[in-house]
Amino acid sequence: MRRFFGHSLLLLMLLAAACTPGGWQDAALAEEPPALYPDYTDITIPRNIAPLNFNILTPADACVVVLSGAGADVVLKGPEVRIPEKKWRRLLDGATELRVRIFVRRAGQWVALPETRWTVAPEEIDRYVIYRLIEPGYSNYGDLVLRQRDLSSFREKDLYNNLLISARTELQCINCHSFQNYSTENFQFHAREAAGGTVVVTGERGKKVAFKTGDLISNAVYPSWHPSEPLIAYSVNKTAQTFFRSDRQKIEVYDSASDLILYDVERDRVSYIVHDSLAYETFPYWAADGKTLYYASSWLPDWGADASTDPTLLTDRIRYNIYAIDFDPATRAFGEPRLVFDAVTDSLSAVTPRPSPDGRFLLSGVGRFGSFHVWHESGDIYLTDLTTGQTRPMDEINSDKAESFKAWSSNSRWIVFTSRRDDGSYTRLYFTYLDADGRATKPFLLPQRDPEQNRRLFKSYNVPEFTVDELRWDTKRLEDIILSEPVQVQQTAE
Amino acid sequence: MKRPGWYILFPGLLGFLVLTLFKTGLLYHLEQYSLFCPKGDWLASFFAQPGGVLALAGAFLTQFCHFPVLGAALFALGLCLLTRLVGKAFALEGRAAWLSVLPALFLLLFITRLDYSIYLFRTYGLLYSQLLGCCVAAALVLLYRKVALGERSSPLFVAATVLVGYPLFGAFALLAAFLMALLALGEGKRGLADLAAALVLGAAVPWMCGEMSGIFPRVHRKYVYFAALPYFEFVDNSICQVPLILAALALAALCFLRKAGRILVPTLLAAALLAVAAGSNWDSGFHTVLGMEQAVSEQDWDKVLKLAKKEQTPNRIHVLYRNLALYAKGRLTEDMFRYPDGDEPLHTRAPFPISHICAVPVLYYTGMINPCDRLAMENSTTFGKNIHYYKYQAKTALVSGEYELARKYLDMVGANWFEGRWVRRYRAFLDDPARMDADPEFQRLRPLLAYSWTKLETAASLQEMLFTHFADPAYINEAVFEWQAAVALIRKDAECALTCLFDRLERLPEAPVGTALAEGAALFASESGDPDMMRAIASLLADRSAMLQRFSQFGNAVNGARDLDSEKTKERFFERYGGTYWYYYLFVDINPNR
Repeated sequence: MRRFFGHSLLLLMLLAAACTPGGWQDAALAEEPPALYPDYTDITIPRNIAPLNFNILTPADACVVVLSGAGADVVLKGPEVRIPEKKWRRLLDGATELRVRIFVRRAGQWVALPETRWTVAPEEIDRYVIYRLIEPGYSNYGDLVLRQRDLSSFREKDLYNNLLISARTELQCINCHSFQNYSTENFQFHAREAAGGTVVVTGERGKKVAFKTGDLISNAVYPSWHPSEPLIAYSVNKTAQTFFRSDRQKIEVYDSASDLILYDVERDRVSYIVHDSLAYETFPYWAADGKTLYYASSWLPDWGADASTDPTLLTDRIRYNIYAIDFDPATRAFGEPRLVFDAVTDSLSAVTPRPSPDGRFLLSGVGRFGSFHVWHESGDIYLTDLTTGQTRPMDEINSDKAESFKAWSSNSRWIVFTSRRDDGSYTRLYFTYLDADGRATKPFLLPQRDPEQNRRLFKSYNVPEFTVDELRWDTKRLEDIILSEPVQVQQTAE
Repeated sequence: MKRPGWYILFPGLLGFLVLTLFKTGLLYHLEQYSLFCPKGDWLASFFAQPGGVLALAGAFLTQFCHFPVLGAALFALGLCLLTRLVGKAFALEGRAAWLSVLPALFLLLFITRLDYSIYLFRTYGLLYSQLLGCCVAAALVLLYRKVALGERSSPLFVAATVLVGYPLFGAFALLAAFLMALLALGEGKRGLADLAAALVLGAAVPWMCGEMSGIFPRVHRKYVYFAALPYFEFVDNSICQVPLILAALALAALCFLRKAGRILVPTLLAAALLAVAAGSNWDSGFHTVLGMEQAVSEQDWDKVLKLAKKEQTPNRIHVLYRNLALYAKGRLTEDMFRYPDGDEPLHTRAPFPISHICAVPVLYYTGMINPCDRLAMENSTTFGKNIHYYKYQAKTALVSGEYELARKYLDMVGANWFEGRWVRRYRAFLDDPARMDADPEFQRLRPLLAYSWTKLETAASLQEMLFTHFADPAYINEAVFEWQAAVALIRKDAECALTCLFDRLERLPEAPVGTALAEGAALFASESGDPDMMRAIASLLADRSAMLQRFSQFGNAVNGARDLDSEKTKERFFERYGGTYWYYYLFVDINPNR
């Protein structure tokens, strides 16, 4: 009886509310655009993305959000808007656009904020993205993880985390993950310090590899798996860092030497690709056809009259161009380097080339100088049309903060990139859609179940890489590999 | 029903007194080096490791140490609760009931024993988590006594304790299972079966958690049996873990001490009390560091100076904090040698650089904003994020004009219950950054930010960073001059000190010269033997004839001294010239690499 009384009371209240004049359905239209976090106003999204949960920052006593797409409208209360996954899928099913109407109540009056639209792109995004979570620190590291995120949901899975090995006094760094042709079948990453070595996984087999051999100046550093052959191109780098005392740019990471090498995964042999003592070659990346290797290279700066000055004070003179070098997979022979993007002529420095899988475009990270643009506010992303050779800054996605790492989805239509635009220090993942003409849409932040998550997270997203399939190795198996004895690679003639 | 005896209150009262009389700085420090955020993802992170519940509860309770008396009262309550639970769990009655205070006393010792290792803590809530863990273990044993001891269900209960308890309470669940087995053994009831069950499961469950990535994908195999214990915290300083071992041994021994005799009870109690008294850390230097740290964080510069005056054998942290306070009071080159000076080593078995302890505030208040942010980031990356580092990172972001970054840090600090006032003060600058210009803290800081775009190599130590930073004697402004001159005096660098002085004299001929600097100038000029230099300094210090006369006496005393290296000579000079730069120059040597 008591429950019945309770239900009837609730019904009466709902009826009273529905009959009250001036409900959100009757709201007058306001002119001020909605303020959202993340800023999901007027964006293009893939059909297979997770629900775009957000917070309404527009001041209000109450908020209602109506999402319209395929199927029935979804009505949700704000200011924190969490969209149920099943309803989200129904909204997206066959829709080319979602309309987002936001109603806010202030001083008893409901107003409708201008509608925002989420255009649904015809092409899906690769389902998974793998990245490293790390504090934007300098020398020290604590809790590091390589993690895969399912972009169609909020599910995450660790590829590996360093707490498994790090001991009381001996910590372990993990970095530079790379996957062959968007698959988790074959991949590699480096472990440094405790139980250091490079973990190379091919199918069900894995091994730890020690690269320092012969006259190589360092262990293997920046990797790129050949899209079809059991080969990985690496740079070897002598890297150092120096710090600014009181400037927004806090650190400069620079190389004092670097070369490119090719690692034969099956034979555990390495050989030089480019080994010019007058140049710094770094950041190799294979074209999707496996016949071209892109990389960045800087000539040793001409110190001129400053030759006797401490070189760390002159790192702003190091500038890189993007080069390409042909490769014959059958003979494993490389051709002659050719200039692809001349940034130095414009007093810029271009690094981290990323050719699109369809071979049409090339993304580069560009800054005023140097190679480690994650720490440069001037760091931007540039796009080269490889059919015309024209390069332009992607102003439609760049911000006044550092943009740095980036990757293409396997269908060449989606780009994930890292940006420090939120707060200047912690890098976050942004996604943008690129049309056939190379025009990108307004980027959107990686959606999270809790829309505030990105604000509360005190780690940076680092080196995002798309994959089309889920990880099949678990962390403990990788731990066993890391604890095993390394295979020492041998250097062969160039 | 028998009333519990007042012995239950004994460890609580003792703990409350010790903590409030001697350890308030420690409690405040533990709060500042902790963090609590009542949000889902942050809370969930505690469940990635076995025993995370205890760390989470510990982090929550540590918030109350913002008011050390409150923190001490909570800890004291925990000690009383533990004593009560132990008494009931092990059915200690009569005289033997007094033995139930033993684990509580050892847990008190665990806290009072702490030394500089607290700067290496990586686990949240250690102040309370170990106490709570012991309470949980005792409560589980009590439950076992009530429902399973001597019953057929006994092995099942032990198994459930490990299976359910280990993920929540880590090693304390294993301890509880072990104690259950011992209790059964002690009382001669199915002891062997229980013991076997406990041992097998106690070994198997953590092992499985370490081997199977699906359960705890982030757990280190090597440490699975120590989950929820401070196994990372006491590098080269394992003596700090001894009280925890003693507490566990006491619990184990109580399984067999129900009939403890007239001699054994007072003997054990006396031994435990003696251990607390003798084993606690009474190092005044350590407590002065903690007191100064709190005063610096509250910008209570008078308190810093008061503490500096009291510490007769200071270490470099005391000296650095003291110099910050003198700078804030505008008396750095006036008074810096009137306080005790020295280079006393840190009294700890875990030697580590002082940068782990004081670099962040020292770099901030000397205007080295980026190194401050870097060290805060480096230390929090290695040892865990906390309120202390986030506060300085928020302030450096404000100074650098990175307001969104400052907001991020302020939001996190503000999530802690008792930090609202601090956060409101700095959040106000986000809404109106121009207000920073009128704020004394930023007014003092801004002139020091005169080294934009200058690079700084990674220095080996905090003191070397300061020395390098202020090594350039060229005059920039009065604030930088104060530090340049102070550093030159500390380094006994005559050329730098005199260049500083003359460079400034050219720009500001009428500016007063602080006493310490005047003493230094007189000494350096005299040492140079250059008549022009001596004349210039004498003219500059014309209004300090008394000081020059005293310096002349000092020179005579030095020339007349037979053995300047003897302690007796040093004492005599201290009596007459203690508090002068000349005494520092002659008798105080510091290690810049410490």
